[in-house]
Amino acid sequence: MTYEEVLKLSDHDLLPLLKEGVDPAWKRVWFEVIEPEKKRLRNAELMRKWSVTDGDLFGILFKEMVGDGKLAYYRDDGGSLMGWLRAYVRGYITRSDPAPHGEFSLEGTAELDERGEPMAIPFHDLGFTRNEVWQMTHLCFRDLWNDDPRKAYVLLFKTRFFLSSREVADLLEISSEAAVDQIFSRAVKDMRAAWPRHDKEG
Amino acid sequence: MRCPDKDFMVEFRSMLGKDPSRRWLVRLVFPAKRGTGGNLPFYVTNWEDDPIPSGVFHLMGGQWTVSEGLGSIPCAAFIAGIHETAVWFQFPDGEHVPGGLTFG
Repeated sequence: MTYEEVLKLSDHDLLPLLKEGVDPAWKRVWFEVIEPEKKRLRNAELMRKWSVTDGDLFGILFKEMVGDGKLAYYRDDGGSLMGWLRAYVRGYITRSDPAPHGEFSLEGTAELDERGEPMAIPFHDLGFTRNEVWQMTHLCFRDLWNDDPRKAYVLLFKTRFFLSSREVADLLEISSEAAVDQIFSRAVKDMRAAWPRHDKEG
Repeated sequence: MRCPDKDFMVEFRSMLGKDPSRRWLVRLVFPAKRGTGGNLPFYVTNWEDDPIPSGVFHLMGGQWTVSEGLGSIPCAAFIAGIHETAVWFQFPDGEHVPGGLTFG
């Protein structure tokens, strides 16, 4: 399907294409969501102030809508899909302040409870956590590729395509199933080791 | 190399850049039961999922010419370059755009 054809689609017909990550559909999002939002005076100011680029906005929107499946939250009851996405982008820009509590630490600015103790800060935002996990997985997978692409292929073939160790051994000309299992085990171990490293980098 | 009984494909994508015209996607196919003597076909498309007419795909330490969005890698070359990390797509104007294997 071409971009011109996508332009003629209703929100209802466009929605499944966006869910599948079809490029012409997402190109329409670029021009009807990202471009207009980044030109809004308030958004442009905040983006400049907090170093957020239009590429960041598009990337995060794609990851959260497709990667995290948040498009499922769109009710498709006649409301504008592009308007809904624009509201999401505006919310993201507003929340992009890297230091939302100014010079003070999170603990220092927490509300106090009846005993005068700082109240617990809610760290367990499920949406945020899932997005983090998705991004971290890709970062760790990239590390795995850079270390040895064969490990990345083995991990991909076994976990995404459910190939047996025998099939992977035949495909990649690895000497035995045991050797495949060993490479797979190392790949998983490397992914686990990379996780805290990226977590620390933030 | 001996491929499994079912077809499957892996995807390589360009890094997300600002210029959408420089985005590329390569789908590398592992045809069912393909043996060492054969080739692994791949398809190169752009942002709009249209074939990129020409270019050069750099993978597994080799350079694979693309014609009408299609190319192929000999199975033997795939195995020989299994440890090579560089992944690029070179557009006809000479620009190299890096990319990588996607986890899905």
